[in-house]
Amino acid sequence: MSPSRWLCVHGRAFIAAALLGMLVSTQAQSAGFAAAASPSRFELQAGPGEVLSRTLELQHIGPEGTEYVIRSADWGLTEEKGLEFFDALQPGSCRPWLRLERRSVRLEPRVRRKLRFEVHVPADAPVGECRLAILVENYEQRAIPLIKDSPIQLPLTGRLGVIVYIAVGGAQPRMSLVTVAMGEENGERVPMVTVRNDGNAHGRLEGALRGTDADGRSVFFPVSTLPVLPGQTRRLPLLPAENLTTKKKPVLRYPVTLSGRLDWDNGGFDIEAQLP
Amino acid sequence: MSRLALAGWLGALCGAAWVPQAQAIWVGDSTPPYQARADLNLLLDVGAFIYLQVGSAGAVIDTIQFDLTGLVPASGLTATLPPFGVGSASPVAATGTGTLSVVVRSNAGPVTLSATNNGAGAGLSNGAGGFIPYDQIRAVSDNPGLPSPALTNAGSTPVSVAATGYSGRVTVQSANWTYSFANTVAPPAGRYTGQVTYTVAAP
Repeated sequence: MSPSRWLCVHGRAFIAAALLGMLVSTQAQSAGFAAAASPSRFELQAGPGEVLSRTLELQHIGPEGTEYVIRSADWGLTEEKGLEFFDALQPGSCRPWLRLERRSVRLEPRVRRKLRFEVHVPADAPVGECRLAILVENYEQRAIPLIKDSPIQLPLTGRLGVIVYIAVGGAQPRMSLVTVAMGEENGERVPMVTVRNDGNAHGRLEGALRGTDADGRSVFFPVSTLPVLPGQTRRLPLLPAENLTTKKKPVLRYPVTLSGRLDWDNGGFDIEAQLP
Repeated sequence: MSRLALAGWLGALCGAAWVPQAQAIWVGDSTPPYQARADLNLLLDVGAFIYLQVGSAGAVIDTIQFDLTGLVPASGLTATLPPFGVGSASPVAATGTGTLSVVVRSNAGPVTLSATNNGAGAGLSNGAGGFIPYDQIRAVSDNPGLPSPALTNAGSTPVSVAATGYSGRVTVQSANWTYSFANTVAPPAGRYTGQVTYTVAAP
């Protein structure tokens, strides 16, 4: 079975099992912060002078209605520092393009609420990618009362960061394959594909490679779908697919031979590699 | 919440739409017994979502507290006697509930978790010029798949939340984070407050 066929076939099982698994495991609990956002990110295209309008669905899972604050932030994503949010307007930020329908919203328990927002792309906006985040925070964190006679106290709360990408004026990723080699992911030795993005919009890899280990065992290696921002070179792990029935990771004996194709927005990489 | 209600919530949240479509196909069968064939095309659209829960039940935001008032100074004859002194590097457990429950769920690929604080880079403040660095507040997770970001005055080093299924596409993780005070500094007296916000995102 080809990797793309594998993804197609298992995609259906993925959807059904994902929902089922969550139903079984979910015991929704109320909390100071317990919120969901859908979609989790936006990947949009626009031309200069265009106005985009979208909606974000929010839901609070808790026993009582709660006020949430909606605001924007800049963000960055690097391999060294991970995902960082910045309250202060960063150089070249496109946050001034964003119009939020409202700055705060009261969410009643388990009632979906739509939040509309618009992105007003200036007529003279250059070709490139606008990136911002919509933050959904718990309103109460603004004024948390002190606890009497507590020498050190630290309120802990949560926040959702909904990432928004807008490719302006036909901005596109331009991905190139750098190398396929072994690397480390969360303390585990796994195959990694390194790609570079010389375009002016973020790109992602999709797909899986077929792997055969030293004992002839065949396993698919789907690639991480982390974005590669313009100008970045990033290592993306190829984690061996777990058994869909047992949910167990396969035990492999290296060397592993990888073959197949990983696709990105405007192309793909045919890969044949043996990893020690 | 009943499973039925939860199913409704998930379906609604995900914007799931199941649209069966039937299409009759002429097979040119003109002899009895006559046969007709219809293909049923199924489309199940599952929207991407992200969910974060921080804390236990109730509308009140969880607050971790530490009480150092019973600790003697870390110098002099008492330094080696229990209770160990302030700044003795003997960790101090939180008073009351020192554990925070955290839940992260998403179906949109890799998920990251980071922390920010309101200390403007200085730490927890007593309002009188005294500060305690945020890295004095440590948290240990009982689930390596959902680690607690190490707090610093600048915020934290973001962590990756381990995916639980479908080769990195689905994440369903929960953990209990237990907090302690590292106690490697001896701050001036006072009531120190701060605030930490954990942010989850699927970039």
